[in-house]
Amino acid sequence: MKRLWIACALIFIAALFSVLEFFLVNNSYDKFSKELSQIQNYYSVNEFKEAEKSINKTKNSWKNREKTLKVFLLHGEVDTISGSLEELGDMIKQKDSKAVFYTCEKTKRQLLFLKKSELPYLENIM
Amino acid sequence: MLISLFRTVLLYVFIILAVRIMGKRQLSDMQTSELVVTLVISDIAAIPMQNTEQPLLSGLLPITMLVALEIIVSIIMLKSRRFRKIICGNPVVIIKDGKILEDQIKKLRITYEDLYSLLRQQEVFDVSQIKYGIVETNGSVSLLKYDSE
Repeated sequence: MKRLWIACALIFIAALFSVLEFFLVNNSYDKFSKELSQIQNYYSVNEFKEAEKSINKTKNSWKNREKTLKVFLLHGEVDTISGSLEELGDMIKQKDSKAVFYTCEKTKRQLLFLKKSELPYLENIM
Repeated sequence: MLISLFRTVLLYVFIILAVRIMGKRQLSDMQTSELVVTLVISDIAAIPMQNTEQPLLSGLLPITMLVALEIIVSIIMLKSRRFRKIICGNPVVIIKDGKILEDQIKKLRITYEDLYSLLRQQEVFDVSQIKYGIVETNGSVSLLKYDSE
């Protein structure tokens, strides 16, 4: 009976971590996609300073989130998004609109792939 | 390398704990399913040990689930004979009244050489000395000799 309780506790711990990861990745996608869309909006109305403030804020938020994400996900995947955000920061400073929009979309797609790859779809399980 | 070192220590402690929780001490006492689980656990643990790109949890969580499932399966096997038969199979008589049952050893895919080797390890050099020889569910061979009756 004692071992049954141990088994149930172990399953609970594993499920807890899995659920935590699920919500963390989903929340990361929602939060950072929204911020990237906001940056695109600022750029589309030529509010370059606001865009720069926004990307700096996003980069700082991502640096904090990155540490937690690396506990659950492949480090390379998380680093790729970090790299894209740094690239976006540089594009914004250079006031290159096409590159800014392209990099925003690219980063959003990377976040989406990260989220989709963690969903319990059949193709991911197989 | 330092990361690998720390992970190795953590995983070593975790695996020892996992094997202790599963409750088996001797390799020879394990059922086939338990042996497979133990081997799989060691394989899973090796991945984050060698590849620091992988999060440590990608090793720890599957091991945790395997240990939990193994405990649950072993408890069900205690309660249900039918379930035990499905997982472990039945012991098979391969020697009866001093004669090797060919059809049984063929079913088990045991060669004569393997069988004689198993008998020699139990200090039996003549099959005719054995009343019953049984291959247990964990792969070991039990012998009932005529002179022990």
